[in-house]
Amino acid sequence: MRTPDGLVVGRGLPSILLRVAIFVVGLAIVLVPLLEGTTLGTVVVLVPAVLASVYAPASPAPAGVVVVVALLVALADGDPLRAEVLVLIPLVHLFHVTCAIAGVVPSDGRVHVSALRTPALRFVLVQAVVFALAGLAALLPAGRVPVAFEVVGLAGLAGIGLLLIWLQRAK
Amino acid sequence: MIDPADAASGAGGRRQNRVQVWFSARRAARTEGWRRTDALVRGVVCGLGLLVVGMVMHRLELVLIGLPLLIGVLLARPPAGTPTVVSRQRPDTVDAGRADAVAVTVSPGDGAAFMALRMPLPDTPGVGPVHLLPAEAGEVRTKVTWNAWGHGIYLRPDYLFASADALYVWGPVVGIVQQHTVLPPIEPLPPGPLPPRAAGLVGAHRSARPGDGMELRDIRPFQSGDRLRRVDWRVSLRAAAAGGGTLVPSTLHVRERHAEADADLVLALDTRLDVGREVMGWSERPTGASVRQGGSLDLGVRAASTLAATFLRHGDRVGLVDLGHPRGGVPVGSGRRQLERIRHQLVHAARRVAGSGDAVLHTTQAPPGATIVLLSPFLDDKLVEVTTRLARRGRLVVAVDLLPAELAPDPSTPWGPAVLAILRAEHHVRIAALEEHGVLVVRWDGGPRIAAVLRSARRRQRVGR
Repeated sequence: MRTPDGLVVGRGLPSILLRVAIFVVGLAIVLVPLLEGTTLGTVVVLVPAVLASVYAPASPAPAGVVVVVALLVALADGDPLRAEVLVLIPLVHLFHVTCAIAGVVPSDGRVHVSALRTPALRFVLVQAVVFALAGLAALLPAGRVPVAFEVVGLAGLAGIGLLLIWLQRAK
Repeated sequence: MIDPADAASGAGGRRQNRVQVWFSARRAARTEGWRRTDALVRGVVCGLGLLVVGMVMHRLELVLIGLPLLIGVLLARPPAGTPTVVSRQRPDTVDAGRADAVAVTVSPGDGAAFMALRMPLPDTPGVGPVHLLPAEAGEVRTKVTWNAWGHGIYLRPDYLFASADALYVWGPVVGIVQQHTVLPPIEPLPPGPLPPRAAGLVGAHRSARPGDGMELRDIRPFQSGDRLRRVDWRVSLRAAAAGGGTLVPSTLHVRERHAEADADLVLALDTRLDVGREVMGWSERPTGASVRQGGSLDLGVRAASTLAATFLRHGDRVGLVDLGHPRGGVPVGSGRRQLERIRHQLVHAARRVAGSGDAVLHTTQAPPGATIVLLSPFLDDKLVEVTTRLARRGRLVVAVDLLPAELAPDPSTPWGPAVLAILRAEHHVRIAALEEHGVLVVRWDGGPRIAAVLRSARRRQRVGR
């Protein structure tokens, strides 16, 4: 609780709830490929990765969840803007952010809701940008992409990569 | 002239040095200052990787799933500065039951979004859990009530700072430990009158001897050596009238008063044992505290603190004897500082529970005429011998039995109830032996009873005289 004299620490919520949130979001992520009919990859790879993420959020396990679920959805043929994909976009992002936050606080700690306000706003902002781009993609004509566009796109990606390296070096 | 071979080796050495410097800088970057987390690696690798694969394979799903991760990393500003957490110094001692704020001053640096800070929970003593809080500059505090007495750590502000989405972290850093002593509580207790001891002929208690006090002792004929200001003129004139009306030396009467004296109270605490309700745990040391909460030593320390405070407040002289450590006592004294001395010594004595050894209480540790209050669970015969020896020498001894009333047998063995029955029988025999030797035995159940016991002891002593 913020007062004019400073921050007064209350009891907060048990930080195990963050792990519960990871589990719940992970379960929702697992359900999407299952509903699409992909069972083998989901059960063999995705479920253990989700459970490992619950146990150790600051580990490579959440990365495994993100990559595997993306590949499973991509391999299942269908409309790239179908409902399953649109549901997965916020779920995967939420899984990523929750794992990141859970990784900095021990499981027997306490979480104060005031600490989660800024990440929640960032989450909403990022999702708004992504869904705007998804809406833009829905408006674009389907068909063969000109080579020039492909080259520009790949060059843009290379630029983003360089920008990321520069940001890290700037630290 | 420079040898080309030396120049070549010099250039090679410089290159090697630069490589070493680069590697050591990379190693330092992984362990010091702001460090990248798995979340950042995940955001960059998964986000960028899915984008690239999605574009190459023309799969929009991959691009859309990877995009939020990448945007999150791009929005994150790399933090800078050195976060610090400084704890506010507090007094070294605090009274049990008192509430106060424990505070630290946080300076999160530039770009920190969260902090994981170890702080006590409200109204719960101890260093507490790690709290996930927003990283804001200023004071962070918790209100804590210290109900358990003893010496301990009340704050260790371990901290870790994290940037937005926990992509970079600083720490964890182990905080500086803050310790203090919580002095035993003082419960309200009506004081019982102690037998006076005419040491200085001054004090708060009426002595049996005549003196210069306020209370009337007798009116008697004038004797050689009596002061004139003590002559009771009303009685003297009445005696003169009865004897013919002439005031002669034989008709003079003086008022005799009681002397006022100090009363000494010696509190003898048995610090060798700390037993609780569960017999099974008697041989184990309590975890997380120096004494068992509600155990015999906890009760004994609270009782000793209360008795000392009550009698010192009424001007008596109080001392402390540590039965487990003969040198650990406090000689009798009076005043507020004596109370602080006794309470500190009680905390110190309770940290040294030996669990064995003989009780030591020499006559030199208690001044002649002092009332001795023995606080013990009376689980050994040696202490009973010491106590009865004091009583036989004419000392007024009050035994406060600290053995928990409801004992639970050890459930891990079928002999638990039998062991408990033997313990109870032996304890009963010891208490009976004490009472046979004139020792007053009382259980500590709040306090008023001990005042009544001291009052009755005083009456018995008067009758004895």
